[in-house]
Amino acid sequence: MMDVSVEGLRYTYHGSRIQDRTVLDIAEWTLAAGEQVVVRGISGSGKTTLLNVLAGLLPPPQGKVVVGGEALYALSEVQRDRFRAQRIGYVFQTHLLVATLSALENVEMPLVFAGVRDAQTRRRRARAILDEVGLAEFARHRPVQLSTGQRQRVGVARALVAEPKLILADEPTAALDAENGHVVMDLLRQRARQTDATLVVASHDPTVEAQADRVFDLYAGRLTMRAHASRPATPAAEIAAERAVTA
Amino acid sequence: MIYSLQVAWRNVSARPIQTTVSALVVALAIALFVAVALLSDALQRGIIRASDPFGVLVVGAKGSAQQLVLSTLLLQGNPVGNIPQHIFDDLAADPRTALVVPIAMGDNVGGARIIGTNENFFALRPSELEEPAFQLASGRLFAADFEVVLGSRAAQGLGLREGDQFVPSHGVTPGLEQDVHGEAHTVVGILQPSRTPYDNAAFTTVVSVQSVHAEHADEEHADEEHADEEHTDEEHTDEEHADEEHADEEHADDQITAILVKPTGFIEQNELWQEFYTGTEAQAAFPGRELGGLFDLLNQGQTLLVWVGYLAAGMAGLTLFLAVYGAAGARERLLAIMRGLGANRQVIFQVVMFEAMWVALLGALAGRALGYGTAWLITQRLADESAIPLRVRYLPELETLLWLLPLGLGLVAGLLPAWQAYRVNVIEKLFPT
Repeated sequence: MMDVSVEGLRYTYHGSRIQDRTVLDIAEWTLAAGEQVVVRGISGSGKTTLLNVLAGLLPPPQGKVVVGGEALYALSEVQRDRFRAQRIGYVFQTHLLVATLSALENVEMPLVFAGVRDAQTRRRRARAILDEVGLAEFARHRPVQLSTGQRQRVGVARALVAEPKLILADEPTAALDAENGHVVMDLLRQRARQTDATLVVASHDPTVEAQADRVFDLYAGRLTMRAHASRPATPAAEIAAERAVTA
Repeated sequence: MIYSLQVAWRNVSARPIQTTVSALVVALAIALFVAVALLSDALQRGIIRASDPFGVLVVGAKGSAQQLVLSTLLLQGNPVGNIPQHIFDDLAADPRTALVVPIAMGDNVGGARIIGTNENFFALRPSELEEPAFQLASGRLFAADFEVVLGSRAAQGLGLREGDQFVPSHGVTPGLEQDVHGEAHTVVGILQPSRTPYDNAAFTTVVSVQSVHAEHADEEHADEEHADEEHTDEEHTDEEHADEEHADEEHADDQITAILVKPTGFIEQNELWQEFYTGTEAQAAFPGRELGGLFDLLNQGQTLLVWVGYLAAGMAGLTLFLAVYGAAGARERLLAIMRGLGANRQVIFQVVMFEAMWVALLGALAGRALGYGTAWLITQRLADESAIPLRVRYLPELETLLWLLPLGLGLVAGLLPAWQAYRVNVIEKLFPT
């Protein structure tokens, strides 16, 4: 179980030719373990930046990020890399598969970094998750031999294979048609539920919000919780909602 | 680490042309080292092997001692000149000699040199404990003038057997048909292979060779006398020079080319050498010393080529660097994905280093094959031309260089690109703005 809390987070983009732009300015934000939330916002609002900060990829100049009791940026870079590999699954907006590796090898990759030494075990787990996303027969295919929807499903399988406790998904349906979008979101939700993982989806797709415990709007760096989500809240979400303080 | 190796291999094999060209450049540098070392080794061993049976002193005309040894022992190049027959007679009667073998270089038959000698030649052996180097495979030794024993390769090349006859060609290379002249020679025996240049020779009596030479001298002398009548005074000087050149041949009937001598002991050997050194008629040369000088020259050439090899290796390193560095753009995104999935910077560094190592390793393996192949082809050709037995052998002492050099190249070539990859900014590469 892994809850997430953010405190005093501020992230500003600086540039010599552009005006400074603060994309994250969050006083406090808490997610309960197993909660499924959607962060909405227009392009450039800072959704991806928020996910990158939560993933431990982007150290913020200010603020504290605690994931599963670990203050993420108090860890050394190597420790943070290992933490990410073992506990966090990230579905990138564009699938970001490695072109030279097969679907199976792409899915296997996070297990290597998570420290699963036995190649047979890695292969078995990668095959199982590929089977789960309906791509068992495409295991040997390279990304270029797969459709966009299939690639995104491989990306989802890769994010889920290490059984992370925090799943981050950045516009997972943006490049997909409605049907494939549903398939991908269903996969993420089901898997998160099965493993009690916390799911954070950045999206402006209305169909994605419908199934979320809570929905947040990100605007001018601030997160605002919507009045209600269409889906009945889980007990974890209710507790979190009570504690949640939106700036 | 194994996974890094696998990923690196996938990256390398995804760029087949770049990888092939880079590996080929490395291979050429490695092949140069391999071929030079193998050829040098084959030449030195071949020459030592070929000169093994011939005793410790070679006596011949004054001039280049190295040329005397090479022309007598390896049948390479022209003899220095001729020496009077009486030197052989004196040495044969000298109590300080154990074995004395006359060598009279004659004409050729189909490219096989005709050698005038005596039965002592067939008693030559590398050491007292070993069998004679030149033994009959069939037939018998020559017993009369114009009887011939053929070396194994000469018999095979000429297709001659006992009882067959041939007429020699003038000179030491296969002649035109009109050059064929003189007494018919009869094959009476064929030797077993000796793995020396003498396998491509025909052996007969010294008198047989001398009589053929005397005939040449007579014919050429008659031609010159005829020419004198037609020539002007200005050309007279040239003719005098020609007369001097043919002076040896005019007395060919009592001259030989060289003498192989096995003295009875070390002191006797040095005494004999000293006598020839201070005398005016001939010189005595130690084959070991002269071949040592030749090997020094070979080694100098080898050293030069090794430096060329290092230069080629440097160029190979640069090519390798460019190949690895040039792939940075395509690779950085992959490495950023790996970082995004939890790979630490050390893994990223390893992947790039391994890419360079893979290419270097491919080059090393190809270079080894290319080097051995090239050395084999060259030695085959040289052996055919010189009749010196040249064989390429596996040189374990080369192994350290053959592994360390390409791996060193890979290491140096991969270092900067790997460092750049180590520092790659994941966010910039994964989420370009």
